[in-house]
Amino acid sequence: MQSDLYQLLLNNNEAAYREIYKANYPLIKQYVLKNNGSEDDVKDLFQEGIIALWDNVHAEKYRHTNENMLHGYFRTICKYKWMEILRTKSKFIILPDDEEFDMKTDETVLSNLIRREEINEFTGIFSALSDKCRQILSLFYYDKKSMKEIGEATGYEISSMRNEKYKCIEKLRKLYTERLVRR
Amino acid sequence: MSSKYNTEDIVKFINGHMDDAGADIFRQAMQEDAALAEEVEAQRKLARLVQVASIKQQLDNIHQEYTSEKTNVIPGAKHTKTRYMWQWIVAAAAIAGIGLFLFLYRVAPSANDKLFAEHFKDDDGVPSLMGNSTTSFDDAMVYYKAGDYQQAASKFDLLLAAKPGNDSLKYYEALCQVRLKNEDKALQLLSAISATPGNELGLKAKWYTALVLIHQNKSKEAVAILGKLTNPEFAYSKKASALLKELSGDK
Repeated sequence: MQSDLYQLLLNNNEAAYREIYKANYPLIKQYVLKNNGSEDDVKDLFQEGIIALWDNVHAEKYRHTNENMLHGYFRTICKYKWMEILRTKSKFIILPDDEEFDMKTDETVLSNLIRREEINEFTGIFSALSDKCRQILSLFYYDKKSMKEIGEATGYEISSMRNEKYKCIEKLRKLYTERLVRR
Repeated sequence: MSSKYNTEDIVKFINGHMDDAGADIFRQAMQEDAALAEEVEAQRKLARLVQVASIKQQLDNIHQEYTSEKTNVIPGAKHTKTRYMWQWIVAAAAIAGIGLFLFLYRVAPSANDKLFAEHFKDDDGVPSLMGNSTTSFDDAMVYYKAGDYQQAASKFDLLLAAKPGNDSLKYYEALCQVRLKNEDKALQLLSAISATPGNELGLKAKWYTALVLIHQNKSKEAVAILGKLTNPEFAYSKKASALLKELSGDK
């Protein structure tokens, strides 16, 4: 069982996120509320933490040994992000050392975590697509399904599926480029 | 891009799903074809965007399920240390139970569960006073907005006992009961709300009734109710039409 969670994360399996919620949400909530945060902060921080964990696991910045380590690494990410958020709110609060949240890890890895603005930008662009495009692209890029599987899930024949997918990618590319130009 | 590789090949390469020989040839092609190398980079960025946005979408659904499960296990209404201790014990037992359930069966939520989680949002409520002059209704509303549905429900219940014909009380108590997983009681309250034409609360009640029915896998009944909400003059017409579309897509 020790490496199941890691494997689920690598496979983009939703069960991984449920497991992380179950194991860590009460701890993170207690930590944030104790350190100048609100309920809303807990939700945002927790989700950003999971996305940053996913990002680092897929970018091979995290070296997995066991499941406890993975949870510890996640909580350390959350603490680091929470410090950053407090800093941006100009709240200079010294977060106490806490063995649950202080796993020794490479500082450069922690300082290059995906940022909240980036996540918001990505979700903003993605939500501008139609439901159908979101479904197709999510199956293609995230679930890594074959054209045949995507066709079955969406009800398209493979040939028209390819055409639809192409149009969706081009729409996404356009939105992404426009966003870069506006920056 | 004039390369022999299409987007599927590129994504296969990015995902590490190409065999070693194929990947070597692909790398070679990237070195010789700047346009291909550029497209690989673009595909990496687009893939990451979609992946992050897809996770965020899943996390929003999970968060809603997680927090409503947590609310459901909070019992009784007394502010005592014992109560909090029992809340934790019951919550821990429930979480352990859910964990065991998932471990044993690895069941994914049904399509109807997903639809319910996606569409069921708490009502914004009505403005409530926060000072000494608050009424019992304000008091109940504060608990409702804070997500303490157990406290809110017991207060709305008391008020309803005094004013059994009041539609607003029925409505808010019903929404609390949905959150507390007493869906049959919620349906009973919602169906008792006046459905006279132009009654906004009546329309809202229908919308939530349909969602609860979906959650109970009574799609046919839900479709019949949603059909009545699609009149473009009604506030819920767009949402109802979209939900009907999603329901028919599931069939």
